[in-house]
Amino acid sequence: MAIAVSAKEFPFYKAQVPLFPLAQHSSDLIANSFANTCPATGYPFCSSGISYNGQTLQGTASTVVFNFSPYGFAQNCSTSATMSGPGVLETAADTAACFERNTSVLLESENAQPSSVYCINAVHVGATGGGTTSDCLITPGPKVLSVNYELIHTDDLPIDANPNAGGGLRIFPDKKVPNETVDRRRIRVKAQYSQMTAGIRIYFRNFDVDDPSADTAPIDANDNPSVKAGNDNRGNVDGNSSTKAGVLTAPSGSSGCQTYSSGLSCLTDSSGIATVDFVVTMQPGDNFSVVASPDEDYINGLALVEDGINLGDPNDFEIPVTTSSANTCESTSQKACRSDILTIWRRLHIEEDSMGVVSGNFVSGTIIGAIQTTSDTRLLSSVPLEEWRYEPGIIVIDQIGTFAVTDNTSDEIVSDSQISPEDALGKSFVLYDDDDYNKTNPVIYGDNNEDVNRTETTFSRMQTSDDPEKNVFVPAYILPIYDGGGSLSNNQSDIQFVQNLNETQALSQINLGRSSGNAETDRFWVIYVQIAYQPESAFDRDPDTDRDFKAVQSTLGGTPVISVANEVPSDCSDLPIGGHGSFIFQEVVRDEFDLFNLADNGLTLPHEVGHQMGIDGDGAGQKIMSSALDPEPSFIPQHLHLIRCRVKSPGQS
Amino acid sequence: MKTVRYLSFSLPLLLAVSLMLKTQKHASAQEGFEGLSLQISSSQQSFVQLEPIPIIFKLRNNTNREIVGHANFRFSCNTVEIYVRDAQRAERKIKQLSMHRSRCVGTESPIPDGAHIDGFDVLKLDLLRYFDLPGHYQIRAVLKSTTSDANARSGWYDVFITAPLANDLDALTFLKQKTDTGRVFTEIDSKEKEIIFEDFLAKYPDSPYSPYIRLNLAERHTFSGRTQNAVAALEQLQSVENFIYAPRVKELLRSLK
Repeated sequence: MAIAVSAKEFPFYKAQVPLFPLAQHSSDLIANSFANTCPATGYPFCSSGISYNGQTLQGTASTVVFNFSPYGFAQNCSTSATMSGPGVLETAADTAACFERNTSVLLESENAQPSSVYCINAVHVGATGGGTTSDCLITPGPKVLSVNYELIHTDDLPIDANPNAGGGLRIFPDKKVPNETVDRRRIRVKAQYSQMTAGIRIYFRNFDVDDPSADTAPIDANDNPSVKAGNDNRGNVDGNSSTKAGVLTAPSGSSGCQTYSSGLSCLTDSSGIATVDFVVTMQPGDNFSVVASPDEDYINGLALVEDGINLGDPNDFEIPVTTSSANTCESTSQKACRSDILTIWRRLHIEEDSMGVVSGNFVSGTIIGAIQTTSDTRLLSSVPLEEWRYEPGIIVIDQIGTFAVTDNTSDEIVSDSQISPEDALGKSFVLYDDDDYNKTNPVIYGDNNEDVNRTETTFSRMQTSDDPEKNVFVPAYILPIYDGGGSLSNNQSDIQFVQNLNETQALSQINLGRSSGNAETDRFWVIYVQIAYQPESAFDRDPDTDRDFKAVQSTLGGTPVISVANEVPSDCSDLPIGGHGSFIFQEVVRDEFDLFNLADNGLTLPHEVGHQMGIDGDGAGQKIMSSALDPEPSFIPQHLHLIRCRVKSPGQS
Repeated sequence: MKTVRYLSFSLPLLLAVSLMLKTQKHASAQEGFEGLSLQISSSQQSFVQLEPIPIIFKLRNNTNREIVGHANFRFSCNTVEIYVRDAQRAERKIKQLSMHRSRCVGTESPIPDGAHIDGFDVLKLDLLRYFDLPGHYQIRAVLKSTTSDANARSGWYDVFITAPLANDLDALTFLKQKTDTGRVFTEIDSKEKEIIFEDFLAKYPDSPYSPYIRLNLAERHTFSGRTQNAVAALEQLQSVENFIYAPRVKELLRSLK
């Protein structure tokens, strides 16, 4: 039924202010979207609206010019509108002299069908301009109430809240243990229909939604600050870029599933649940959503909206989301329902070895000469000494005692203690430097006979935590797992002790301990860490202080690498291999941080792990990968992108 | 041997001085690094194809003021860039200088006016990629500040790559056939490599590649506790003239004996 309503009959006849939007919907059972091309300010005021009360579909449109049109004596103003949708097609028009009254139409129908889209489209002509307006709604009816993910293999970390930007859910699709044959990339997606009826066909469609962690390259190269786009996942399911959004498949043993142009459809069971399998990609930070609807045409018309995450239909209806808190799509009047965002996280399995007991961290010899000055005693050594190494340190002289060492050359030991040259001459001695890697020794004896282990802070920035303060890899969507790289029996605490490990022996030293190499696959990433003592002597911070302007050189950690890079292209090509393992030189870390009174000595490990993952680093401004002693504990975007591009386990080609 | 001025500072005083230096570093680390003068040379100017090329660095402060800097010439510290250009003047940066990455820290300190610091490392990766043909090449080094974007740049240094002849050609052919020539002078970390390189040294003991391979084998023997083999290899290296790693040979021998 269509009525052209005169101004006298229509309630806003006397309106002195624009009545926009015209329709105020009384029920949240009805969703609307608006469009208006009339001028944003000035006259005419154009409006249209559509509403549904469960029985009657009502559309209204008006053009307000009355009392505000000094120019309209000789011209007509008008409102014409069409209300349409399944089973409904109503049109009407109202024309009047512009100075006489406003124009409006009222359209009504009782033929509205459930779960259908109805719109009113109006054309407005005013005295000084005009335009078009429209409004749409979806009538209530049977629908998909929720879309949820479920693990098929539940003996693993659950699908839980994604702690990173964008929220939603996260999944670990990689292997839990190295040799398992289950495919954890494959999960289940269930759509709950509003009626417990079997045999309703539900259409599923998957999307690669925008990466919410950045709006610019290198992390999200297809965004800019004003436009965010999906289709930015780094991985794919089968080697083809067409599967970046994951792949929907029919569950094993199911019947009634069919592919359609945008995805896969399956039938509901007697509980009203339709189920599909969904295979996700493996790259950390990749994200997805799955939408479901009983209406194939409708779901085919959906697309990501401007935020790159939400979905909209051609009438600008935004598709409601199944939130984890409500477990249902927020609006009950819709034609589709989507899942929450699902984001990929990866585990980084860690094998941790440590060198065995410190031995030989001293030099012994005989005093073959001695002189005493007013300020110190100088003792000539029978054995060559590393220059300056033993300052500060101690010398234990047989039958005489223990004295502080203030200096040493290649053959001379200086102590500011008064030692009788006559007594010292010919005596054997043992010389220790100031090493005390874990600061547990009341008297310094070079840590001899002490086992080399991690300290409290060695792993403080790489914990199994979602807190970026405790796990600097959180922004890369990576969670360290301390499982020995597949088996705790891989972890060894008695790897051959080397007092000063030279680069030329580093790989051999790693090979002594590394047991997880065979466990590494694309789906089981392993890094190897060996808690070591000191690097080669030129870099071990012995002596503590500068002895000439060359400065003291220190190496806190080391990583043999195969290839590294600081950035890779946005398509993740030309990825560096990285390395197999790293050393943390615990005694040098102690030296450096004691010397400069620094608190955070947990940064060396993630720095070295960054190298294992293929990051070149060590440049100024590269935060945790820089060579600064106290860098900012986070990765720069180029390095995050590189980590997120990794396919192979670190060190594997 | 260095001349050492003996200090009579107490440990606390030494630490205090060091901490003062640290403060000073932070105050001036952002300026002046590029004022350092960097020169490079090598142990020789002519190299056979695939022969490692030592780079000898000389860093000087020719200004009249102290400059905060460092002398981390070791490639694994990642503070050095090396550029190569050939006869056609096509300039390329060597992508990877070391098979290691080390977190080298705390190394910037005041370099007095007039001071000079020497150091070296050796180009030994991907040599056939960057010096693929016999001819005239030029090498330039850039030393990067660890705390800012400032650099100290050297001028171009001429090197000449010659084609191996006779026995050296056979040696090169052997390496090409049995090893990854891009990584031939890196750590020997497996028994298989050990056997190949022992075989190489038996056949080509005097090739230009042999000292580097022999040192790597000595390192391997040392690590594996085969002291006699290590000492024997190192003693042979003592007689190699102008060998850039002579100090390392000496140090290893001292520790083994």
